[in-house]
Amino acid sequence: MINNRINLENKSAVVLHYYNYRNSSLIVNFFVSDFGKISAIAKGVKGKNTKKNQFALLQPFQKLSVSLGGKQELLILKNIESTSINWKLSGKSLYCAYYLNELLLRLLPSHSDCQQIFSLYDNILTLLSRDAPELSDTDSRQQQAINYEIPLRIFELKLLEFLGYGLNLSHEIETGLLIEADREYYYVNDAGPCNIKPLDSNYCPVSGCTLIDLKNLQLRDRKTLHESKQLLKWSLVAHLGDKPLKSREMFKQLYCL
Amino acid sequence: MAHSPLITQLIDSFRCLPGVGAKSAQRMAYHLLERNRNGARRLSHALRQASEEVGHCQTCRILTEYEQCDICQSPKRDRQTLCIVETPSDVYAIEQSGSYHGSYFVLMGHLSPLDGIGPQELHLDTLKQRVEHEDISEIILATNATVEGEATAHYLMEMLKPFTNKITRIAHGVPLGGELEYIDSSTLGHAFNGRQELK
Ligand SMILES: [Zn+2]
Repeated sequence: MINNRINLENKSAVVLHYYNYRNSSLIVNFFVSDFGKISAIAKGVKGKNTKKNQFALLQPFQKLSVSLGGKQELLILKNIESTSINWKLSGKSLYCAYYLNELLLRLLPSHSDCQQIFSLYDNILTLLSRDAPELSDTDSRQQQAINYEIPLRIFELKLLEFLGYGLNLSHEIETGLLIEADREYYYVNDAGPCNIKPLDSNYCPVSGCTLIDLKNLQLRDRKTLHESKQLLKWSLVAHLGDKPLKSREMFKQLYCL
Repeated sequence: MAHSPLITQLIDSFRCLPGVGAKSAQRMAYHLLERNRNGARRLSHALRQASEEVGHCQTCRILTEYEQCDICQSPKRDRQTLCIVETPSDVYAIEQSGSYHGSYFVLMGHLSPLDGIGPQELHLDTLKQRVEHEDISEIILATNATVEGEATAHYLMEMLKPFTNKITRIAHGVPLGGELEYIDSSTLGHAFNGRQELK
């Protein structure tokens, strides 16, 4: 008989999302550093005369240490502690962080070591939570948008890599030649950049310059940033399926982007 | 022994109430049928009437069977202060505190980016129109101290900023009777950020 019991003790984790469950409990989607995505019931954490402290800790965007146990299909949260200072996110950076959580909810595997992505998530949230002063002139506003976008693009790129769908950013697929900065390419899904326009419509046009900048994680240029966004968005859709990302839709609505 | 179909239906119906499991549903059903048929009739009448007639106040969206609720009709309330909350229960909680005499708007929820609950679902257009057309001197954002409550407050702040001079957020921090060493670090962090000068 297969033993389907799981016991995780004092694991580094974050909360990705939670749902109300019965009157005073929650079903919580955790991202456990060396296990991946996993759900557990947090009993009696909502409402009057309950473990209020736990409900505060179950809010997303805090670094936690959790213990979970029970049958795989019905894990129970046994213990939860805060392990460090919380990320201070507000406004746009908060909505960006929600986007990261939704990507992870949709794509993160279970039963696998995800420490690499966990520390990337940590770094990116730290970048997003840096105090960006609200500036009014147009130049600084654009600079601010770039400050939000660069961390998101790096996260998307590294997440695809981690999932085994890393982008080919170095060689043309027909000739095997190195990417040249001043050429235009057609990125073919699951293959890479191609010199010749493919016959079917499943490709994403991208400049050699953007491919090189992405490879070097140099995303300061506006054109590079815009093309990277298109390429990564298109690559993610292949793995996310038809269901659109809700947080992205809402971000567009909220900030008219 | 199995319950008859009508009794089973009654027991199952009670289970839609929060905190009522199979055992207590059965106890309620048998109590009404054995000892209090009149109470049962009153209950069924009240349930039917309320569920059919109670809707939302057109001004603040609180639950009421009238076009406008008591609070919105009352001449004693300060109409220049508007407090925005997530649920009708929040209104009752604030009313019980006795420390607020302005008007309300009930969102009937909060923005939830991962569940697809956005500005339309919360009727934020109604709110915006109201703030645009009324003379409001202060808007108090009293959404919950959850991350989603924060996200909602931030969005409302951005949306309502052009129409009023003063937007405030209720303070959250150390509860009455709270001992600092037992308070979680994020609550304590909020309490420090929202500290006030003693005068
Ligand atoms: Zn009203």
